[in-house]
Amino acid sequence: MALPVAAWLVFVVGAAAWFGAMHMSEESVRAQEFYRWINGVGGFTWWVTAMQAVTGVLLAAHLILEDRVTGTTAHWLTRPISGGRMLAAKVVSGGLLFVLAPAVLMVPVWAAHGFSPGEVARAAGEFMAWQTGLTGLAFGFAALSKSLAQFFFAGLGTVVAVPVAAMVLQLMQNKRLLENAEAARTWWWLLAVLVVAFMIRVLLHQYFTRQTTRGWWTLAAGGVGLIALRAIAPDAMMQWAPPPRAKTRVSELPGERFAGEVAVKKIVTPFNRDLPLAVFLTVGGAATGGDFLAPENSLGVNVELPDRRRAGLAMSPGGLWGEEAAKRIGGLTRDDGPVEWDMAARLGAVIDLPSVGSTASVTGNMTLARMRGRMLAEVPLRAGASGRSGSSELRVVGLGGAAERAEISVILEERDSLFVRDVGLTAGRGERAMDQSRRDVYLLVNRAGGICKCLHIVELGSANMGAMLVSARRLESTVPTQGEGRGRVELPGWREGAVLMKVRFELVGRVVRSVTSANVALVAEEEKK
Amino acid sequence: MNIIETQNLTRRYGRTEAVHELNLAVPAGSVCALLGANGAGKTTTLKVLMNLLAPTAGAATVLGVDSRKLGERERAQIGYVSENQQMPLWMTVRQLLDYCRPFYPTWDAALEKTLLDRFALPAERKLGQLSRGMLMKAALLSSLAYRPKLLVLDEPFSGLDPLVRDEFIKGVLEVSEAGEWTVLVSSHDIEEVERLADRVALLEAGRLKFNETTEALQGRFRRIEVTLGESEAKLAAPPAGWLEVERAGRVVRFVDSGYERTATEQACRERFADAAVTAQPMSLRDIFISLARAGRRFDKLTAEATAKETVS
Repeated sequence: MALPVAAWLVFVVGAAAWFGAMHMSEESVRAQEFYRWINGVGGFTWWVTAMQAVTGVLLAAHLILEDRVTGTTAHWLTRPISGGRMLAAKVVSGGLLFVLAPAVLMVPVWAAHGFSPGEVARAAGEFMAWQTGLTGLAFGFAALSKSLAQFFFAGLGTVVAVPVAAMVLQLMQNKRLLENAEAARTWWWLLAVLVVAFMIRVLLHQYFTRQTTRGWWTLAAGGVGLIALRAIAPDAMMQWAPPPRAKTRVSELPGERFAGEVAVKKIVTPFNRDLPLAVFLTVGGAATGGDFLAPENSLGVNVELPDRRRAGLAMSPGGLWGEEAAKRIGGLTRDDGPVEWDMAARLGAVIDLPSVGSTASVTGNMTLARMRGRMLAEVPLRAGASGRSGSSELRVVGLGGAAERAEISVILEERDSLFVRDVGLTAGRGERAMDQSRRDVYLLVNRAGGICKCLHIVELGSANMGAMLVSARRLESTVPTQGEGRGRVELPGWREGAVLMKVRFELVGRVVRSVTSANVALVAEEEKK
Repeated sequence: MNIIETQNLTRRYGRTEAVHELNLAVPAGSVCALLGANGAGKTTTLKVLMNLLAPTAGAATVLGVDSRKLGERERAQIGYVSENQQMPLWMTVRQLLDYCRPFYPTWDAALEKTLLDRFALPAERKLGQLSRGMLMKAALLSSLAYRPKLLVLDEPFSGLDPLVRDEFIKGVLEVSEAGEWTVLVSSHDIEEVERLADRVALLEAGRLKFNETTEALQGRFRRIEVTLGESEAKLAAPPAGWLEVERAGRVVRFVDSGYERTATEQACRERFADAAVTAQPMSLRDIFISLARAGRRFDKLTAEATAKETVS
């Protein structure tokens, strides 16, 4: 087994090293091939990662099956080796071979790609947690299997059957999968803890009693229990969120500053039933308080319709996000006064749409996420420019844009450690956006000209392997202009000295405040036009 | 003192009963052969004794400990070699011995070397590259080198050529001469067992037919040949202990399973008035075959009787 494990380790490290070393070419951008390029790389790395996982699992299973626990013919069963001692030996060897060894071998790869010691530790932790999960699953199933073939089919069957059954049950109950972000987070934690607990239970039971049939029943009962739990447990039961990672206590967050300062600008009634109801509102009076930034999004706001029915709503910022705070981070302004945030959301087609002229109000809970920003990289706005901060590397691959529409676009290749994979590009919408613990903002800055523009992000694709994430992104904006209205023209010379700044905001905490607006008359969609 | 004892030991596989209320005792210091046709329950019995299988009912004690509670201490005193055992084929012979050695406080390095030489095992060759005979010898070596108090051999001779069998038996005998130990060997290869065993237990369809010393067994079995005189033979109701009774012309042959010279001659005179009776000792193999045939005949008669009862 030494040779296959060694080959697997070389493969894990080699593939990740190769992946880390490859770069997107400028030619591919010019040829408009980047979609194909990043998707091709993403698909390839997905397969490589999957193959690594599958072969790793099979090797881990083989480690157990070398000294089978089932049946009556294993050599060790007739030797003075207790089940506990054999299990301990397997856990130690599995831990060394499939958890520690690949992580240790990956350290130079991560270091070579600029990971700071903290990032290496974190990447190693995540990588080892993942490997521990896979190895634990493999151990549990292998301990109950007679052969690698039985392991493969039983394991595969269970791993596929449990989520599929859970999904079918949820669909039968007309319950959306992971509808609620907090419930989803709780569910995944619960799932991880239960799976680990079940596997430990199965391993201990099997090695100490060798009652294989009972072990399979335990596993089956666990699977059924998980399905039942997911299918019948109301989301409300699972709305448990782990505390924010930052040390700031929620009670210290000045969330009350937002209370009562929500103004509904207008609620638009569609002229056509196929169009959604739109709500625009402003959250005002938000002092930024130094590095703090608020609000992120609002969540769970209800629109109260004339017949007192309520429709759920998740809001997103209407304007470009984070520009005001980013200006301060970039040193373009020292203003730390109140900020007004425009927010907008569209409901899905509402049954019995209210008529124009009637009124509606906005009521419900508004969740405010507070984030702290720091600058990761500042690079000149030209192709080939690059900057790095720890594992985060930014490279301008190419520049473009439609001149007739006065637009600019920047193609970026970015590298990060995988643990920041939840950094959103478009940050998701509504509820999902609230779930993020980090968010990147890109600014087009010309200090001499006092220009700071927040760039719109378009995700082109991403690929990850070995705790490294490579993303291709396109940043879009209109060119900086001067003048008013129809007389606005491109600001001359804005490109000289222009830089691209990458600012990363990280979650400090969330606060929830009640919101009740005054009644607002519904405006027809045509009027808006 | 008995090294192995079973009390009404029963083991079922689903509805099939492999061992039925077995009461077996193997005294310390004996070499006991567990004989029986294929499917008689020999391997199942040994697996229950080794706690590889749990008994469905009844109990067994091995080295004075309930078989279900055999721990590291007891296993360090038991050697087990089975034709079905999965050896770590990726190890070399040397690695196997190095792997086993630390588990046994009584490991005898000198004996290991002696047996390694006697068995002519290539120490640096992987077990997976050894012939079946070599592999069995390696298994035996790794089970003898610590001078176990109890050696359990499950069909150790199957698939081995005569030369290897001879070496195998000599190896076992050599160690047995060196100390007090007990051997329980299951086999349907009776000729080889005959050289080893001083005690024989016969299993038939999971039931124990007998368990006695080889000497006593061979003492009570004789092949009898009766040459009839002028008078008629009365063969209608032979004694229950007469097996395979057959007549060819003026000669009647049978196996007496309870031979006792005067009693057998008396029984013959009652049925064959002026016949000449000769009694030949039997090998274990012949005894086993006679019993197996008698068992089958009995089973067939029982089956026919059951069928008739069902029809009527």
